[in-house]
Amino acid sequence: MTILTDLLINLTSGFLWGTVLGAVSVGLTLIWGVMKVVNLAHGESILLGAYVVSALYLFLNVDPLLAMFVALVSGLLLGFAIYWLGLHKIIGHVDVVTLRIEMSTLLEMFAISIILYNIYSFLTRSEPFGIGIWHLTPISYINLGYMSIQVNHLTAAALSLVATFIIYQFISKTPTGKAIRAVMQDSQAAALVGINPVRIKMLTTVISIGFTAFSGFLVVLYESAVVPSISYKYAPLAFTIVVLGGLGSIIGSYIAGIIIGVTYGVSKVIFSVLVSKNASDPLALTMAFIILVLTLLLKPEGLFGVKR
Amino acid sequence: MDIDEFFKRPTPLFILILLIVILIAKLLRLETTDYLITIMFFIGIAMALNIIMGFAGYVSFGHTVFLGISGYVFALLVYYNRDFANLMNMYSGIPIFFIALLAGGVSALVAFLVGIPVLKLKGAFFAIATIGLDFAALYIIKAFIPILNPEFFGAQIILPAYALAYKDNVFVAMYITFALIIIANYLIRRSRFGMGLLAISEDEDAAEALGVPTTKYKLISFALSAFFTGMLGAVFGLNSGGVDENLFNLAHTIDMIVMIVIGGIGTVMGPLVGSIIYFILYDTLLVTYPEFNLVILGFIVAVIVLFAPRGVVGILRGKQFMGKKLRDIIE
Repeated sequence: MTILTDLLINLTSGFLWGTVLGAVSVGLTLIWGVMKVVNLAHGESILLGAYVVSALYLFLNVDPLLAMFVALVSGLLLGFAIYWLGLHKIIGHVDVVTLRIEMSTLLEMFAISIILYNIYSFLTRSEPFGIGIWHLTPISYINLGYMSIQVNHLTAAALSLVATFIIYQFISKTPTGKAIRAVMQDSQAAALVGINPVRIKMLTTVISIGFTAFSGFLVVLYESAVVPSISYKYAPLAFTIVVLGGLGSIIGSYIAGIIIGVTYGVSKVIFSVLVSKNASDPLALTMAFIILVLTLLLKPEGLFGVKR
Repeated sequence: MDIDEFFKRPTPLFILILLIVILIAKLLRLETTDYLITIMFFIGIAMALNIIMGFAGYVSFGHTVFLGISGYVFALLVYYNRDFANLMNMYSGIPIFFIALLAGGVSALVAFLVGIPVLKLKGAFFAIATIGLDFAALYIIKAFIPILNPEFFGAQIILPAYALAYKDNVFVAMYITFALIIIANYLIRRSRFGMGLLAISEDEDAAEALGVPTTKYKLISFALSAFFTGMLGAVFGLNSGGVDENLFNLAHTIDMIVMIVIGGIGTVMGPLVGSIIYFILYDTLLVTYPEFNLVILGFIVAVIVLFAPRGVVGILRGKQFMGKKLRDIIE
């Protein structure tokens, strides 16, 4: 196999993974961008959706395409619980969010992530759990001569595009979405024109955690099985993507996800030539964090963010 | 400050008692050496992180990176250098302390270089960047350690017999490191430098305007904190008989931050008390509810962040005792 075909294969798979990463990050960009809540329980919210879909499929034989709506609802409920039990006391007011409040939300979400993570570990005994070889079509691979693409990866990519488009339309067109953007820009001014910022903050938490849980379905579709520690892979990547795409920008997150995915694919090939095959995967993941630090230093508002 | 005033303050007294209690527990064999080393490790990492998180208010989620780096440096040093390895069991373990100093120095250097750009970030961005650094370092180590020597399969270094030290010698090294860290914490808190850090945590721009050299102070505190964390990682790695990628595990970050939050941010007593509470809780819960101990600890942290953002010691500091404001005497 020449390097060129290797590059093409990794480019394609990196692109497909990138779309999933993009969808995974959309929920984070909303909650962090609108309310300055640093959702350290992001990985655990992803896992909720993944586990709900897998459990319904394995135990009740529910079609994953149907179960993904249950995952969405379970995420909405989790968001509701997180807001009222954890966040309302910290951010449930109109005032400007200070650095100290931001750090409190960070620690609070950190505590929630510890709780959820260990519940998952207990329930699944940290063993892989997932929908396995489920696929939409009778065939599981599409053969393109020198490479084959998993149908599940294509399905995940297509669904991520549709879902991101829907939430983008929701945020930019509906009255609620416009109110969310107003609160993101200036919650006090929004309150003056009759928007209730506290209600909007609650809604944003619910919507973003719900969407994140839905994206967990895409993750389990892509990975076919998940373990709790997968949140340590996806959550830091999601933070990288949100920073790269710009806080609060849905399109930015989706595109940044693809950028990270493609970078991963390409640098994997480069490192497998330069260093070694075994070292290529960890080093390719390192690239994401180098991009993170560079973005934070050179262009802190991100690619599509608003300069403050 | 004269001696009389020194002993009227609870903090130095508490530190002294703690050091004596551990020594007595060791000499009278009240607890196993392993247990004591683990306690000192836990309290130590909380106190080490406290210098940057508690005083300067910069929450670092990637501090395990320094446990990892120094752990690996130490392991490689004694793996490849027989002189170092032979020295470890001489002079009752003092050389271990000096090799750990060296390993900690590497972490301090890394922290210094990384800190120059990263400490420009504030709040959550700093936290996210440090998480990124932790994973970057983990992945780099995972990639290169097996290339260095095929025996280090999966980036795991198991120390051979010649590179191991007696438990008593490890204890001595850990004890000196531990004492160094908590005394340094107290001295920093009372110094001009410490006041500067507290000012930074309150309002960085205002501190800068009042003449606190914020950039310099932040860098020094980050490097110092990394240095101490690294020393602990080095000695702890030796105690475990080897290092693997688990040293980079975010679980240690969880430990450090939870201990500081339980005790109270911005004080010396906070992380000391917090880590003792944490350790006792962790230990008892581990026995009674092995699966749920971290779930329960998570709930405790969630409640403390909501209702007592300044921690256990923070509540105490708000109270009065015998007509004295406790805020004035508890550091």
